[in-house]
Amino acid sequence: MEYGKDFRTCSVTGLKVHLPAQNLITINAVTSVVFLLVGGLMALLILLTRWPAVHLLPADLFYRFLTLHAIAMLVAWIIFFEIAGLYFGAAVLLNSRLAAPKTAWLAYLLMLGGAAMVAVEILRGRADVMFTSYVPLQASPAYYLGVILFAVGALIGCGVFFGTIVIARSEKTYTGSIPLVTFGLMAAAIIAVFTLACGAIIYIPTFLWSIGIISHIDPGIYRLVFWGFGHASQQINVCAMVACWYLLGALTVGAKPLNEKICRSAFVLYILFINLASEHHLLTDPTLSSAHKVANTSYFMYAAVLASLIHAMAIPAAVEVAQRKKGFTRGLFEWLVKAPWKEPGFSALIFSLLMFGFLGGITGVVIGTEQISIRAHNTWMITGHFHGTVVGGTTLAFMGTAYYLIPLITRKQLVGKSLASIQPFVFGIGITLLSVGMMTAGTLGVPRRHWDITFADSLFPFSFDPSVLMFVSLAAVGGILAAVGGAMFVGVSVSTLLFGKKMA
Amino acid sequence: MAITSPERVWWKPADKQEKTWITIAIIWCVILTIMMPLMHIIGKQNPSSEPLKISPMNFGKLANEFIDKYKVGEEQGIPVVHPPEGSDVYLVGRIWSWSPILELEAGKRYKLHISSMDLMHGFSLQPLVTNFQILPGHDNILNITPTTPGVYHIICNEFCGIGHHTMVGKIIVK
Amino acid sequence: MEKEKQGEEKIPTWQLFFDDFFLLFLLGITVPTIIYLVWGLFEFANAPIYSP
Repeated sequence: MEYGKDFRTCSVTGLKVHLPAQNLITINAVTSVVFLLVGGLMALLILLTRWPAVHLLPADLFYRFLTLHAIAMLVAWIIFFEIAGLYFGAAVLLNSRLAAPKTAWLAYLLMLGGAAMVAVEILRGRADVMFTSYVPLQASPAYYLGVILFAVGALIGCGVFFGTIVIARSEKTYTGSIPLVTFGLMAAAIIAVFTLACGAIIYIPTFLWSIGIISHIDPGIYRLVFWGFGHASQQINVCAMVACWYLLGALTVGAKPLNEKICRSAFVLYILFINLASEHHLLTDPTLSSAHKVANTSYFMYAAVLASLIHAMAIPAAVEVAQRKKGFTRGLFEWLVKAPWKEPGFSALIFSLLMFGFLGGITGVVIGTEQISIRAHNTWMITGHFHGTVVGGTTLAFMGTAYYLIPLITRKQLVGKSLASIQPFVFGIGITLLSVGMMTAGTLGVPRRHWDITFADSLFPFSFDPSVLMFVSLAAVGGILAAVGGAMFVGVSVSTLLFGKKMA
Repeated sequence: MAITSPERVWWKPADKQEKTWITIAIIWCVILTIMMPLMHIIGKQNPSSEPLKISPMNFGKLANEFIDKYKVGEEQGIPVVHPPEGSDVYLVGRIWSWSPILELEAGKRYKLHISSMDLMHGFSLQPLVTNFQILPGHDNILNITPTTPGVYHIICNEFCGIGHHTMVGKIIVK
Repeated sequence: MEKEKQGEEKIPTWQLFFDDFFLLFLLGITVPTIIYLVWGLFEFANAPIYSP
């Protein structure tokens, strides 16, 4: 084992922190927050446009900023943070040195360069194609190239993660099995490889089409392979989020998984089956058979739903047991009432769990059926669903994790602790209102990705039931609150990084 | 804890409460799994199960023949057609219109063919909120029976460029 | 406590399987590739094409 000048010992956890790993975790986490800020700004602008009362942006900028919002959030913010998490889970939690730090830096630069290229192309108006860039819509070649570079970088980062686990095992920096959090992150990394492979299979030909080497890309095949990338990337987020839940449970209340076998089995079910959820996007498509649709979205996918149900019990149960051990045994709920709600990591954990489960997860399973998809496809119901999962669930869990990761890794004391304490509440309530407003408006027919639901410039006049306006406004109010919550998080993170007092 | 390595042998039986929950969860997942093919068979609302790839050019030709055959009028420059029961009915999505305007009769069956001449579009029938993905090069074939007379609108809910939000069509059921 | 000197408790096979990252990786890639991707591509390749 290598110790000495390349490591420091964390005074809080006693873990050995590899200094190159520390730098890489920091740079990836910082970059993720920068993109969160960009995406958040875009979110506010497009939200104020979809709110008919304000209708802020003109049509072209709306569609442009919507594209940038999605890329900045779904791709950049989340994946940069996940890479930071992967390095933390493999190097720090296993007391190990990070495999090939120079390669990890290459990965970072590819991701940064790719993301920057994509953002620039979008802002230059050369990629008004939405995150999905469905052919025959065509973006500039540089746009596709940027995505490919980003994906290659992320793939290399996953490789560094796997390599670190192999090194840690062979150098015996830990005994027995890897910790549950690392196991969850490993599940995320495996799903990431499938995701990025699909990304390569679809973006490389699309890039070649954009420069004229390939003449035609079938839109149906594009959708199939794209969603192998697009939805599977959300499943990376699910695994990483659940790993964060276990992490936050441990850090905030000392929660211990009741049964490692159960929790790990749930992650294995994710590894095997959760990617089949990609089918949900294709349910109303022509040409694909119902057999393909039903098999992917039911039998196999419900095994992944089982896994979520397992985690949904395991984590609160672990929290309850830990709290009862501390003496909070009065009545049915003293353990919950007397839980450390002022700890941002705890409130983030609980809100994230509830929002992912009830707002996002359940609605996802419901609309992931042939018949209900017909009612929901491309409406705001879909958008409301995934803001429940990715924003209410994953993003909030990552924010909660960051409140601990940043001080632990950078050894800077958190600036704005009181702001951090209420941030999960502000953000959580905001996203709940946003998601509920969107989903209700969507069931009444409101489309996603649409600049004007009053149809002022249409050939035939059409307007929605007036109650739609109430729910769109609810979503807008929720979104503004969430933007405030997001700004609070960015404020605390950046202030800590810049002005935080150095700890031991 | 979850952040440290577990004990040496962690493959252990679950306790009673966990087993109960997991049993309930498994039963629920099995019910869901059965429901999906069941609803496909006994439900009357399924997506297309007739695959057909067709070039935009050929689809456009078929659509024009259909419009010529059954045209009964025009509204805002869009032809209105009244096809007979049981016929192949063509609906074309293109930037930025749905054409023709279909005049159908309640209680009668039609075989609807929807495709695009250019980009992807989202067929979204209001106020029923019935949505299908429309792809150029593929025919979305749906067997439909309108049930209630009225005027229905088709909006587009798949981004198709700067005029996307102006794309509105009509279906009239008599 | 571990009985390291005499007769250690045998590690269950399933636990060894869960510790085998390479195997989990292989399954995690293969299963969705076949059920979702390959099957789907097969259907697109074999769909009938309209000819006038």
